[in-house]
Amino acid sequence: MPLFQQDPQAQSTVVGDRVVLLHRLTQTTIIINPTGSRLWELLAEPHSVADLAAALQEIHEGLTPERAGVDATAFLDSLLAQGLLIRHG
Amino acid sequence: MSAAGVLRWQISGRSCELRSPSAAILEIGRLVLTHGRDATAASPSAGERVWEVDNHPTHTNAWQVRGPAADHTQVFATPADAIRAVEFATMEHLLATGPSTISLHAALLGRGRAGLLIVGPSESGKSTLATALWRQGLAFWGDDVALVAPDSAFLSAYPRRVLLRHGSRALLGEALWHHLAATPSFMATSEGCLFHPHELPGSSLPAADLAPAGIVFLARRGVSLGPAELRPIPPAQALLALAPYSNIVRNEGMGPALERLQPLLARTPAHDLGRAPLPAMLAAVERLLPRDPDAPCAPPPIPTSAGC
Repeated sequence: MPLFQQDPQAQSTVVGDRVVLLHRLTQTTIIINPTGSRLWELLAEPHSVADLAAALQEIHEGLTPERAGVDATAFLDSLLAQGLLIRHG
Repeated sequence: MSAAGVLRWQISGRSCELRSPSAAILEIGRLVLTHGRDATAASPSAGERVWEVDNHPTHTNAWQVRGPAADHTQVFATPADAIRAVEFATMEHLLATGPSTISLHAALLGRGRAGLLIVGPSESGKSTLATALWRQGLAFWGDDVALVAPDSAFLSAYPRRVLLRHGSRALLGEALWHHLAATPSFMATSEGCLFHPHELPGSSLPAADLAPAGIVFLARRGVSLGPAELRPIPPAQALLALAPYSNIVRNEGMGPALERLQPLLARTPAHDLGRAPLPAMLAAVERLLPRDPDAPCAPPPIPTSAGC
């Protein structure tokens, strides 16, 4: 099962309830919302899609496991595309 | 150099020194660089940045400016031009090498202890709006550069004369323009003029430690607004929008700029302002500033950043 973790080249800056992520080499930036910010904090250590999906369900009551999995996968894909995550395994 | 007089002053804690045998040079330097205050005793030790201004050895009616460390020499026709070179070079050095100095390419105005930044690309109407706000009664502290304290995010006027462009003259009106021209540090330039706002009657020394009350963005790319529409910008978006206007991006890159501007954006509301006839834009901006100019503006606690 692959694990995902923050890329060392990623810098995060908290402003209000959002986090600005910057890739130091490519200089690309994205802003993530409060839910994404909490997932980002988890990704300081390696975590799987299932781990993030479980976290989403804790944050949003009533979120189905299937929906949580889809959202967690989409979140990880967007960060991977920006080079902000590394994948283990 | 023949027997020289010395002028010393401090900028952001860094000592500077001007040496010249010319009384005219020292007098203009005293007005422009030290705001008329006697700073010869500012520090008994040699300045960190030393400038020497003397008559050119071979060119008549010319002034030679050397410094710092005698590694750079320029020649000017008048004492005012020579002092202007020292003034600008000192600022460039401060911004390029001061580890804690944060500057923004922005207009700075104030009401009491509240400061307002106006940010925008060239030709966005920044100077026009700033000048109009000044005419309306706000204190005018700079047309193009403002300083931000690194931790408190308080705003300060750039320690240099204000640059006002020719395009602002019609808006100012001839009466005020003539008042400016009569101030001791006034200097006409190819772009407009330089002057110290505090030399106008009824004014005070340059603003320091203004609590930031608002940031107004003009003509931000990709934003479509109604006439005089004042639309709040989420802090994270405002941070990304403001960073390119800072010296930090130029000197250190985007990452440090985001980190060091975060305290300012964490406490200061930012808005986009739509273009409209000036009265409507002025009315919109007025709503951002506290009505009571003496209202205490203690900084709120600045949240700690939980970055990786």
